[in-house]
Amino acid sequence: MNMSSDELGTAGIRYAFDLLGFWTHHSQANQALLFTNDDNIRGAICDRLTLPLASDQARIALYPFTLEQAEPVFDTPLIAGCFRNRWSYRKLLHPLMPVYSLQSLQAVLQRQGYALESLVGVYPPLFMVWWTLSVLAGTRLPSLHFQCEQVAINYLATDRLPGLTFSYLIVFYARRLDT
Amino acid sequence: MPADWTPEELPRVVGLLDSWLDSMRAPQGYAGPVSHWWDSCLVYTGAMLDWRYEGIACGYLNLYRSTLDKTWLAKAIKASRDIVAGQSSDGHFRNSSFERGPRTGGTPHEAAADIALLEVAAILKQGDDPDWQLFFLAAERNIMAQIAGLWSGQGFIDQPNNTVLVANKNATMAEALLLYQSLGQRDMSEYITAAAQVVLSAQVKTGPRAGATIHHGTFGYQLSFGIYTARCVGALCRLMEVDPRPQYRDFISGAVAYLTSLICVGGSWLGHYTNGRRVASPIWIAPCGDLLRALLQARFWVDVPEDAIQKLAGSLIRSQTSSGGIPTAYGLATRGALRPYRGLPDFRDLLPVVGWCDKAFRALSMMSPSLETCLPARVELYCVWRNLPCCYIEDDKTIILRDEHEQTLYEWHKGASYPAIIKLWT
Repeated sequence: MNMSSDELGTAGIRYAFDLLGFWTHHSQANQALLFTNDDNIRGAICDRLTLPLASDQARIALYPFTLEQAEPVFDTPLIAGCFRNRWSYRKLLHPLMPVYSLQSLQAVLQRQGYALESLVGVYPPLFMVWWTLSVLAGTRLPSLHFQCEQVAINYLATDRLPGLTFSYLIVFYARRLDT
Repeated sequence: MPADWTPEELPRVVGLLDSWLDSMRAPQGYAGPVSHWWDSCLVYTGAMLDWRYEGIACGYLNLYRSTLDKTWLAKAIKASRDIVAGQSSDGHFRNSSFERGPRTGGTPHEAAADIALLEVAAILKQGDDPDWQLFFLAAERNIMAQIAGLWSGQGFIDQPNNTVLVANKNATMAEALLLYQSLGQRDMSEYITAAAQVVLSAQVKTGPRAGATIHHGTFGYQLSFGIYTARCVGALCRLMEVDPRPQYRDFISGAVAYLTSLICVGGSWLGHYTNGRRVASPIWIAPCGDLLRALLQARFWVDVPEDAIQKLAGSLIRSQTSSGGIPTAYGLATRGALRPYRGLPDFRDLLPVVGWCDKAFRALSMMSPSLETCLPARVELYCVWRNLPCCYIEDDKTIILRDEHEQTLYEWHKGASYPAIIKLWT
């Protein structure tokens, strides 16, 4: 099932995809490979790319929400992707949600000769604390709702522990060691 | 109270805005980061085909009409060509969702871009320039796509998967349809009348926010916003020209009273909550251009206090930085607060955004009979990002945010699709 338009429009998904676009833009690649079976994700990523998609070879490959299905054999000098984190608070609420873990990512990258260049956690626990407060304030206390929501957005992403470990989404960028 | 500005300043202010808009151009159109009440788009900074084109094209056409200098007509045409070049085969425009980032089908953004196309088409048709059809047909394709995807029988819905009827979005669509009807000689009154009805039914009749339109897209919050009410005034003023009705005049009169009540030192209050409490943070600055335009247009139909116009114009003029841009707001850091914000502006406050400055440009171009060529200069301003002190630096090539340790948190080279550096959250 394709990702819904509502979910694609959320701040966190947008930020994750924006980062993929940012890294691709700065990768000095002429083309990019995109691995996804989801037409909506494909469209959202393509909207952000400043270079065309390749069909077989490229300098960079993107894996938006694909690692949850299967661990790929990476074949490009640069890779970037995002996944739903196994150790996030969100998994407690949705136990059947397909997930992947940071530990698995680190292991597969090491095995295949890649080094992480950037690692970002989106929707870390601190975001969720403020977001929950904003939801609790709701329409009864609208001013508090919007102020808490604003603070939550200030904590939309992190690259620091322990927030990163327990973030809902992990976004990564890695480089093959021989490049 | 005397105005704190003089009409002699206007050509310089508009000229500097024109230079700033030039500095924000990318190969595919007008670009740059976006800050807004709903959200901000700071990572993707490429060209977007949203409501920025309405203000840019109409502003340049105002300058052309007042000076007959074809430089301004050429700039309006160039802007319209951006839209045509970014139109997909389904009629929608690329990256038309403003603060929601690079995605198509933005409302009311595509309708606003249609207004840009149709205004340019109208002036070209008047001059027997056959190119008018290029812009007219592009607008027509988009309007038909919007009717197919958003028309509900009662009005235009927010999005195909969101059936709420939002007043300002229907207002913008009605404006586009009025222009299309006039140019294309095709009766669109069924849609226009229904869209106008959506606008009329959203107006609050009594209480502290009397005259405002409720933004039904905010669901349980039922917020009223000055800028959205202002956009409804613009549409109904245009409608009055072809179909003057007492209820439209009453709407404009009530809305003008509401907009006037929002004017404050430095700009305008954002709006009101459903309980009548004023949203005191942020104060809008550049977006006030749409309030100013609404008041200028409403003068033909209802009484508008002259000092309201003077104050709004003064806020825009006094807020312009030497880079030429006008900051978006003051107080986004405490967004939604009932008390006015005090302290250094947030980075998102200071950001001059093409999709807001176009509104100031359009409104001020209505008041300025000419324009002075001015070159933007470097600006350095203290601000905060996530409560930490920072320095905002802008010139005609870059926008930079540095923290107190001189570390660059954000660096955007104007025209680029992404910043060179983004460390805002990490």
